[in-house]
Amino acid sequence: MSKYEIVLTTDRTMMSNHHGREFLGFLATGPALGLPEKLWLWLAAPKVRVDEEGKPVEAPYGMRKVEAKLIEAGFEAAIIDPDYIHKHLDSMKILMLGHHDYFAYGPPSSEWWMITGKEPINRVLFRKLMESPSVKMAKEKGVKIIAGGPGAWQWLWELEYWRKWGVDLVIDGEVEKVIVEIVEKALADEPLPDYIYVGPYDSPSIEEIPVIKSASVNGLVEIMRGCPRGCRFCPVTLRPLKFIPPDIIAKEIKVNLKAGIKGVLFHSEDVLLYGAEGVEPNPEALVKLHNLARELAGEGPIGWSHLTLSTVKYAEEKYGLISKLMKDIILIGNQEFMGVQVGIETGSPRLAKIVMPGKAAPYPPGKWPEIVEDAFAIMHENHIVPAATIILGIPGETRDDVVKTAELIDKLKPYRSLIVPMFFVPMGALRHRDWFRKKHVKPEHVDVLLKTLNHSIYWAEEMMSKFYLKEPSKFPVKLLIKLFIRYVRYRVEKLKPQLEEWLKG
Amino acid sequence: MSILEDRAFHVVLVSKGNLDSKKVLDKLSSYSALGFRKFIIHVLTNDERPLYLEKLRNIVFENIAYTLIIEYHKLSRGGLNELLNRLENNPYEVIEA
Ligand code: SF4
Repeated sequence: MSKYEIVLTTDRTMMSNHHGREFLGFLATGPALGLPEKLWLWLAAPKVRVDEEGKPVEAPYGMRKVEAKLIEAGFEAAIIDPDYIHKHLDSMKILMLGHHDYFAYGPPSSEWWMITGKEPINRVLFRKLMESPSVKMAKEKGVKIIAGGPGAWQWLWELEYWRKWGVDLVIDGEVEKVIVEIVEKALADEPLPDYIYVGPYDSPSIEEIPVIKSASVNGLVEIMRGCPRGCRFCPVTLRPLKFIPPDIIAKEIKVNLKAGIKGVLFHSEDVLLYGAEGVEPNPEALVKLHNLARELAGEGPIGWSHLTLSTVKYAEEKYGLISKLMKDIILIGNQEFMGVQVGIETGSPRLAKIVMPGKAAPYPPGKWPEIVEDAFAIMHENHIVPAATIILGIPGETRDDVVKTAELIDKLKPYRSLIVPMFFVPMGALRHRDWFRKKHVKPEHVDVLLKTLNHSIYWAEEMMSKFYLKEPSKFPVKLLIKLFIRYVRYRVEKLKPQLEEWLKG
Repeated sequence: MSILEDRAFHVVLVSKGNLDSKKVLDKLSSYSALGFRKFIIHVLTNDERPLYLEKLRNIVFENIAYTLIIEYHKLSRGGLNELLNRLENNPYEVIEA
């Protein structure tokens, strides 16, 4: 008999450890390509281990924070794998949903969708979850549905689904300060608002952020919130900057290790700004943090979620910090490389100045292409493999801006990396895909798309042969990825004559 | 004290047709100049729940600075009076937009 009055869940694309490789999670944002859907799903988002109640061993970090907050407030709350919700129908009063990309409107899902014309698998699976007998039955029994997470805003574009599935409240932003009151209201059957956006003023203090109670996917641990770069229109930079103290980080690492997770994945908008003064890195704080992780994780892998390219260049050139961290602390034992997400966005200094002036600091934004190239060289040298995004079609972009991006990609050829092109897709355009493709996709964009594909295929094959998924148990995954890469190469080759014709004009 | 309502400014938004988002956003920023960072928007409308939110989308997406809490009320004179009675001791303004 279940005791949980609050059940937190999400669909399989989120409730997975992606075979221990965050990069593979990218596949869960696209439609099944060249493989049957089941196989694609197994590759992108295999099921996680659960206990007899359906509680997963690893779950998304943001949901773990909400779960911890509710447990600390005295509620019976638990994250439950989507396949086990039925076990809790008798006790459940509130069903909480979390997601990065409920309806595939975020990057790169919307680009996959735009290019292939097929619904990405995350959207398909989320819909299946909401239309599953257990969720339907929960709603019939009067369970309140509250949806949150980074993808919460997307509900405002899917009001028909919102109505059909009987969602009671959608909440966007950092919820630690407000979630307990909302749950109390829902349990007392008091009326709930329909939508909440938690602004920076209601950002929780460090003391209000709980320590996770059970393990997060791939050992992810947040080390800071906020970003000092101050780009316009960015909600992250408005929030007060918070560095999570080392003792709290250590507690969360221990929670993960105890659950059998082997490594530590530091999460921040820019890991190298942990403890920083503005954009000036703090080598001492970073070395201490990494020593702490190494001490606790033994030979387990240490990873970083995101970096800013200007910090990579600055930290290495001023302090030799990248090589110090990588050679002295991270790349010891079995770890041969580290994957990380970075944003190139554009190769045009003009556009960089307009849309992301803070990203280049402390360098001038006009130097952006050189910063990118230097940072890539530093990362290559130090066995850091970036998965870099490029954004095409930014409003105000000229043909010359796109040509500059193509030139930058050429310069990045020698550096091991994946480059993922993304199209700036205004909401609403997804409903008129063909019109959008015809009107907005220029020959220069196609040139960049081809260059990034060739670049990424080349380096993906190199990594597969040298060091990715080397464990014998990962052989089937490796084989499927190799097949997938071959399939992409074949499709690109087949499309090339057509595209070249188009490029000629 | 309710955290959600603590130091919030209440906007009673009477929406009869298309909604003028700019008018509402301008109001929010004029009250933010007085120190308010949290707005509870009580929407009185004939549109159905949650479809009425389509008209508030611009307000939500244009804002990153303030906490917004959106509540639904069926549009009626009685409903409006009841709401205004409830808000009696709170800072509020009725906007027709
Ligand atoms: S660098 Fe990214 S997170 Fe930081 S302020 Fe700019 S857009 Fe926001």
